[in-house]
Amino acid sequence: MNKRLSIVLIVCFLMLNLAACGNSRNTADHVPANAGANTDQGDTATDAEQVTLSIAMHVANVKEQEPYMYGIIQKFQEKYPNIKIDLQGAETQEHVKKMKMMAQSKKLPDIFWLLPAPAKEMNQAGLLLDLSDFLKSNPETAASIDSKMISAYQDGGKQFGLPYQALVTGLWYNKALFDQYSLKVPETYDELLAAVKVFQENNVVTIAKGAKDTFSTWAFLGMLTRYGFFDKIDNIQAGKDKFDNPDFLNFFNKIDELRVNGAFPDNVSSLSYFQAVEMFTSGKAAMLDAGVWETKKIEGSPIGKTAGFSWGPTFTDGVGNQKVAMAVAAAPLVASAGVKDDAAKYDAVTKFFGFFYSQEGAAVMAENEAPPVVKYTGNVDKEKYPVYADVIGKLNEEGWERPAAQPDLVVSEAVANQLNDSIYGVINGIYKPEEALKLIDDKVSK
Amino acid sequence: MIWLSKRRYILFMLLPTLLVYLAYIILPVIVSFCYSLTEYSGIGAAIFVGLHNYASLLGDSLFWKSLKNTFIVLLVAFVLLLPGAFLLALLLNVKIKGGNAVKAMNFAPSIVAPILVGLIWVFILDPQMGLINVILKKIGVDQLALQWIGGTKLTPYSVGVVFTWQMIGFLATIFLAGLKMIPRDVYESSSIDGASKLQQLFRITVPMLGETIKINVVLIITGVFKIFETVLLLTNGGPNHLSEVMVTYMYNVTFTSGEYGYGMAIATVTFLLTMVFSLVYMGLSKKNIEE
Repeated sequence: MNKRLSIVLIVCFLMLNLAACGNSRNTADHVPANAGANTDQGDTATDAEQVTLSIAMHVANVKEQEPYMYGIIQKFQEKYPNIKIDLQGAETQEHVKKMKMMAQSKKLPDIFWLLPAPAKEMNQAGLLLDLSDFLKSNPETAASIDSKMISAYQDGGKQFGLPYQALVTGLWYNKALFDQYSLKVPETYDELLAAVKVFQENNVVTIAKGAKDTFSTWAFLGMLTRYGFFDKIDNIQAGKDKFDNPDFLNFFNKIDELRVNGAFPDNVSSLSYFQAVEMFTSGKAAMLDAGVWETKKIEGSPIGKTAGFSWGPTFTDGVGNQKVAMAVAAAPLVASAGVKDDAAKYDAVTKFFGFFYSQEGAAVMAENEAPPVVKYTGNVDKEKYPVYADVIGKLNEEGWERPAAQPDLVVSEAVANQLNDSIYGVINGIYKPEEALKLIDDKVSK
Repeated sequence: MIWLSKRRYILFMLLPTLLVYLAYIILPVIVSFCYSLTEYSGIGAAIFVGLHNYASLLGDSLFWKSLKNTFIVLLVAFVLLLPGAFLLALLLNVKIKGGNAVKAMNFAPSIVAPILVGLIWVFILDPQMGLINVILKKIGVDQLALQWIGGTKLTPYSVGVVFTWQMIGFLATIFLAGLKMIPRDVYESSSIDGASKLQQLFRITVPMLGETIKINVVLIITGVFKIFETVLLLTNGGPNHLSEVMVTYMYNVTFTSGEYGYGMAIATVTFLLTMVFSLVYMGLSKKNIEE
């Protein structure tokens, strides 16, 4: 009796385990139709099927860290009550890792943020939805997005993603500190170097940076484009040229010169990017290498009234046009190819993209002081949002060329990682400029 | 219950555990090894490259740097942790008022999440704002205010100290359990024979703790080879990978650079080194005991 009872119990236990591991996808994603759905503006039917869209983002707390995305999702759900958004977030590296793992098990979220390089690979593996049909059926939306930003996410005849946000990066500055030492906000490298020397004498950090987060090299990547990055990169990738070339070496020597003259914090190697931001917003540094995603934080900080945004210095020994504004497509929002198998879900995905790139979506972005991806026709209150107005002003300034992308977004992840690492290697004083460039070449050849 | 003692039933009862062990330990190790023979970015198909990744490791200066750093941490842990935990256990073995509270306090760092341990120590070791350097500067010995983390040399030693702080209470507890197992009458007999406290320590306590020392040494080896969060929080492997240990370097290569195949080769080597060190030590200590 005991023997039989034990066997029965073990079998039950194993069956329960197997049941727990089972796939509940169909029941989880779809809930019964909402009879009282309040649909408007083209929502096809009042008795529309209730659909749940999963959206995965690259920040741990979307509400706090990407408030415009959170706001857009809230407004979207108000407009389409039959579509429920299941929003997930994880820190960037963790998120990318998670997406790759989900891709392997074919369980990608319906819509998600991804870095361009893995997005391209996922597209080549047939895992992403081709958004060409969406753009064709929404010509107004297509026309309102910068064409370079759209073409950045085309590969193999497919539109595998659309820009999530405009990546606008450069150097923030605290004018009060420049005024205090009778310095001009630098527009050229020579002016920057002169300011570094004065700030160093007065124990003020010129450029706040945190090497613990090696991705935080935006302004320096922008400067790299002023040494002919986009003229050379195709040849470099084809093995006909090298990163270790005279022009890039000139630029890396400039970074080294800034380091030697004390442009960066003494403890730059143990600081994180967030600590660098804190250093700037608390008035301890004159400049900050970052992007416009920090607008709201800077505006609300003690230096909010005296902060401004610049595209970084130009160089007399640079290559080509020096008036390059790093306002490009950041990373795409992509959709899983799997959504096409479910008509209701596909419809919900296209509705979401339609809303995201509408003027309503752009207004939410503007409210949250983020640069809209589409041409925004609304106004910015200069009194209420002086820093954001300054950013928008810079974006609308005539005579600045916009590159196709940020340099680290057109190379493989490994090369991008090494590029950032090499820039920080020189800033930390670990690598000599030639050595830093050779390390990137090693990754390219690998 | 007699029927349960039969070998086939024992095996049957162990089956669920074995299946879980196979699925979550053995299988991932095999899969990792298979991926280490490929070039794989995490998406799409993996391309078989044979032992190319292992050959690349030989010429990868950062890999050797991470290996060297791991051994520095191991060395620091052996020098500080093993004798430290043993001495702490001897102290805790003395009956004093409030002894249990002291034991609990010593054990506390072991139950703090490693990620928090890293965070706490950033505020102690940071060269600019860290507690140590602030105190050293306040008392006027600026020359001793070194770059404990974030520099080119001291980070692995600092990691070894943090690891020691984190593990000492745990290992001391294991030593303490070993000390409690030693029969009191052995000490009483040796006292009657005129043995001093020092002689008792080296002739009775240490030899009779042989198995406990072995367990602790294996725990130190396996613990050092899987240090991750502490380094991540202290320096993130920087500046420029100079403070990477093997696991952080593997993580960086795999997940930041997207070189899954190469990363798995590093993981396989780390796994093999841990196994070899532990088995060699266990083999040697067994031989010593037999002799």
